[in-house]
Amino acid sequence: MKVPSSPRKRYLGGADWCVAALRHGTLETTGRPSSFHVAVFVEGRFEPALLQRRFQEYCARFPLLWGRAARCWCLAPYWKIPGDVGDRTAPYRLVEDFGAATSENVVRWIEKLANDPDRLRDCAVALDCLQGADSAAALVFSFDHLLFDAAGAERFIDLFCRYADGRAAPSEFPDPRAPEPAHLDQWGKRFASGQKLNRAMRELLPGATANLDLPEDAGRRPFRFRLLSLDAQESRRAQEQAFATAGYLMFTPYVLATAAATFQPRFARRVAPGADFIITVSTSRLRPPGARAPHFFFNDLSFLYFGFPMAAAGARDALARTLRDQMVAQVKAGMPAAIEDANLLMRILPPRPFWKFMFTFFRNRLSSFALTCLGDPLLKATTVLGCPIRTHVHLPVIPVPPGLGLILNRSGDSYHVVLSYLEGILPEDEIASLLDEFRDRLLNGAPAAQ
Amino acid sequence: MKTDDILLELKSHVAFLLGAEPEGIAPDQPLHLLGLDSMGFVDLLVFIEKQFGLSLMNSGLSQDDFASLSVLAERIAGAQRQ
Repeated sequence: MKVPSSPRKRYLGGADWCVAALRHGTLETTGRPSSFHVAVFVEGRFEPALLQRRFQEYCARFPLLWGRAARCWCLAPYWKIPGDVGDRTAPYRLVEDFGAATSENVVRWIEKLANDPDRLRDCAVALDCLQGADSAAALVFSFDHLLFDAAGAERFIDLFCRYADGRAAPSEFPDPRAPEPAHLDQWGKRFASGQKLNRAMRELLPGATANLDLPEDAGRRPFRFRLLSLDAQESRRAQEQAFATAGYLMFTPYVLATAAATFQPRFARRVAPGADFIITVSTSRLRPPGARAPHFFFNDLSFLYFGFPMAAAGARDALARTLRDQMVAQVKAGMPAAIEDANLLMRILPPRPFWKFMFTFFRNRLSSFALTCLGDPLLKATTVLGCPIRTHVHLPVIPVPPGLGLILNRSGDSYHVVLSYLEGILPEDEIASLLDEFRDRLLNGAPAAQ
Repeated sequence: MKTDDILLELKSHVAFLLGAEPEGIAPDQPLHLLGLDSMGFVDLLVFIEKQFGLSLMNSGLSQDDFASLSVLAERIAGAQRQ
């Protein structure tokens, strides 16, 4: 079907609509949408007025930041782009008496942002500048997941850093208004993809899925984060362990097996014996040949689903190889493309029915936990407004359910691991030990003796 | 198929995976330094299997076997000659 395009209208893809449904589910369960945050730690202090001016000028170049999801007469959802920004400004907050911009303090601050349902109400991006008396500061970018994925957010920040320093060429600014097709064709192919996905999920989900119960008062529980930072030496060691255990470049299956081994005893105490782990892993989408190069807006995501008996998590190294084989089998069978295709079809549903459908499709269980391993960092800028960038960390809210997940990102030579969870899903003392244990397993294969 | 032709195809595919130009892909650089992650590497393995009929999944995936695209092209050409 030929659908007229417009520079004020950008059709949403299957991954965008999947995110919209998950966001709706989280909002319905907790009263807060899922958002994500990137903290950029710098040396030095910012000149606040200059930072604010640069940020507002930069955002004003992208009116779609103030857009909203709408539905076209042809049933496809789209992002409605305002004609101009007018006098609107992106949310910006300066905290000059922040104290020390340590990772711990910044994470506590981000927890406040993640639990503020209004932070991104009008604009899809917000910036908090946190600085105190010492010569360290942090910029915290908050993003609406409907408009940005993690890779897009890094590209957005990277260009902002270079723009703020006067080093961004005009040609580097993407034109997100370039028309995209509505993808309302090939219905037969999309139905077939849905069937393929259905069959694969039935094979993957033969028994009960291991799920932690959400706290009864989930709507009053805050989202929380814990951060583990590996230094360059530890990061190299983790990578070497991954290559030796699961094979060259097989970091994701290795991390997933390590996470499963770490979570296993905590799940085993709470779920029925014999339940299976089902884990959602989000990955960058492999774009078909000839596709337009990605810019930093909207979601270029796909998902892989891994299933295995919970007991198998005890044999981590064997599990890592099994997961590697599952990954290959899914890519070979074209599952990431099938998921995108099926989601394109599901865009005819509003987020709420889509969310309900997903819930039914997964037999009310969804995944046990979520995992994201971000690839090569796209935030390559080394300074912002003349301040050297030390590192950056991703802190996304995991959709509820499962409301529990791990995110790995690399900055320079070092990995950061964030445990993102809804408070009450596990006791805090178990949460506290979880990342230490994960680190030991990642570096050494087994937790250190207690 | 000649090793050079295989290398050209590998470079084109890796460039596509990385959203880069094939000319910018260094054939002698280790794959992890090119920016390939697990997903990209798996896609490359599937591409090799479909394009050249060579399954490398059961080879143990040691880093030496995938030292660079040049090494990989040599290996594929060698397997095709046998």
